[in-house]
Amino acid sequence: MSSITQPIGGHGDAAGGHEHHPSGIMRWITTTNHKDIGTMYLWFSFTMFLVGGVFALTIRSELFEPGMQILRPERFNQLITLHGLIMIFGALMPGAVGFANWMIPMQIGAPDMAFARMNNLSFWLLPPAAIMLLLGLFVPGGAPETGWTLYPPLSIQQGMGMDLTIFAIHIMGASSIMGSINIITTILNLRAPGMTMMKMPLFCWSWLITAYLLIAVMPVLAGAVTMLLTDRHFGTSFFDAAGGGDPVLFQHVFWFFGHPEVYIIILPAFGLISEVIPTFSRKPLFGYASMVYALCAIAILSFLVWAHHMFTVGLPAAGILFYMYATMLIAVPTGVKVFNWLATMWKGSITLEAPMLFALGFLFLFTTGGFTGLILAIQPVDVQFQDTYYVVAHFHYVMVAGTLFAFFAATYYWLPKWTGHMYNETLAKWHFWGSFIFFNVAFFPMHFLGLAGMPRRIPDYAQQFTNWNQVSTVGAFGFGLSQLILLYVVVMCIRGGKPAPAKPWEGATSLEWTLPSPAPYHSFPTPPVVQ
Amino acid sequence: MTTAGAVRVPQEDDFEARRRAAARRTGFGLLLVALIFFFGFIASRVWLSSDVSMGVVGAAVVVFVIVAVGRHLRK
Repeated sequence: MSSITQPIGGHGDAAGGHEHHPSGIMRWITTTNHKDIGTMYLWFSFTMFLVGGVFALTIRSELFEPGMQILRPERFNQLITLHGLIMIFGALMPGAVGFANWMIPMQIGAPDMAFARMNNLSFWLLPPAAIMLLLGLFVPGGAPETGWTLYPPLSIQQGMGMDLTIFAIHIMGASSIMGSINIITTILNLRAPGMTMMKMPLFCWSWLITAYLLIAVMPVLAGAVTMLLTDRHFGTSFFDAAGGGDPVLFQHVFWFFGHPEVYIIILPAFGLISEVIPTFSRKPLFGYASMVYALCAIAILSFLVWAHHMFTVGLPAAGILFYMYATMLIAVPTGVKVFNWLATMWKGSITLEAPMLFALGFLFLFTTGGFTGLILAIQPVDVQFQDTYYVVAHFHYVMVAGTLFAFFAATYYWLPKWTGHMYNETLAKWHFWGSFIFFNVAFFPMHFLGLAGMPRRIPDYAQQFTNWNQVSTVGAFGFGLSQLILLYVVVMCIRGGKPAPAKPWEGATSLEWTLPSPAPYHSFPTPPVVQ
Repeated sequence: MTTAGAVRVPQEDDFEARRRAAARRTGFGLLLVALIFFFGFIASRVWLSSDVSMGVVGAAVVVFVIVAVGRHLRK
């Protein structure tokens, strides 16, 4: 990783004469500045996180007791679908793009993203897409009841909400592809002199690989949902068995996209954690090159395991064995990463500020989620757990404790650089402990429910599942309320507080820390020289 | 670079112009890949059987990722 830098012209020049920008609402609508766009992505992501969270709490409220309390079954299924789509396409992916927008140009010494206007467009496509997605709740027939996987034949039979969802996915997909093109182009062409690929911060590497994955899989998903649309309205039968189509093909295509999607979401989180752990261990990242190779290996293997989501559709035995072993193989590069993070901390001078707490929380909980993933990779076991709460527990340990905890760590890590103020460390630690404890209260019991056979995506359940469901619901509300602490801390940090120095973290080494805090509106108008 | 027989020192504008041109080339290349995957996937499903279309598109996508990511590892 680059550590010694000499910006040409000095830091003060970075801002000199370049701070003019429109004010008011027009600043945000017309901006081409990567920091503004990054900020908008992050706020959009947080808003969607709250919307998806409210849906999750509504679902958990319904599941507090057996029987139907507050939702009709079809509305319950609609909220399940929207919760998944909003969290993945509205919260996690835009959140990761927000961090990329803010940090990649500063970490590689670039003045901005390569295509600044396209950057603006790729953000402003998201709000209409999100509105379109939510609009499904208010049209006849409501939102799709298919779950986020949109499997036919149900998705072919759904009402107008399904069309809105398909268009929303198209728009979000276009936004993601534009964002990816921008990120790859920026990293490949705008690096500062001396910033070779193997000197780049690992967050940039993780996003470079993620962006390639997005360009590879998003068009395939867009193609699949386009074919779904033509099946619904233009008389084709790609996936409609009634017309000779193949519904299982949709499952293959969806998971060919959907499994790399998991890594699209988690790889940037790996990058973020790889920034935080060395900083608070006051040691360079252990095994930088092996971390890069592990990222590449995970990315490539992610394309070879999709059918482990489909172990119950009737795959041939050879196929089952291949996907089973290939899935287990992913544990190797992932294990390399976990080992390297632990080795980075080994004999480090560790301090436990909020970013490091969240990074440690990530490490512990993501590894737990990884282990349950290994269990689910075993086909005979997976057949038993298919569509139970065990699967729900597994992917929430990966998605929430993995990606979201990494986002929280990165938010606290870079808040001083973004706002120019130090955040309230005490409240941030409260946020961590609230999130960590209530996350486990919410999701760990789901393992027991799944092992006992409770099916997911069903609004009612048998009496014997009541206790753990009640515990889970209490945990979910606790986790949701804990996030209000984050909102408060961030708002207070924006409004004021103790001024942050250029490098508030002793162990931080990458280029962004050579800039003053808050980072000037235009950073690195002259490329720094990386030695 | 030479202009009218005189040696001209490369200017910062030249550097910026080259960088912009390189960025445009990369951007268009990636856009082309995305469009090929989108239309190629639909076309393969229209003209080929399920197994073959999945095989062709799957192989193309995996090869793209291996080549795209792999070539940066040598730098």
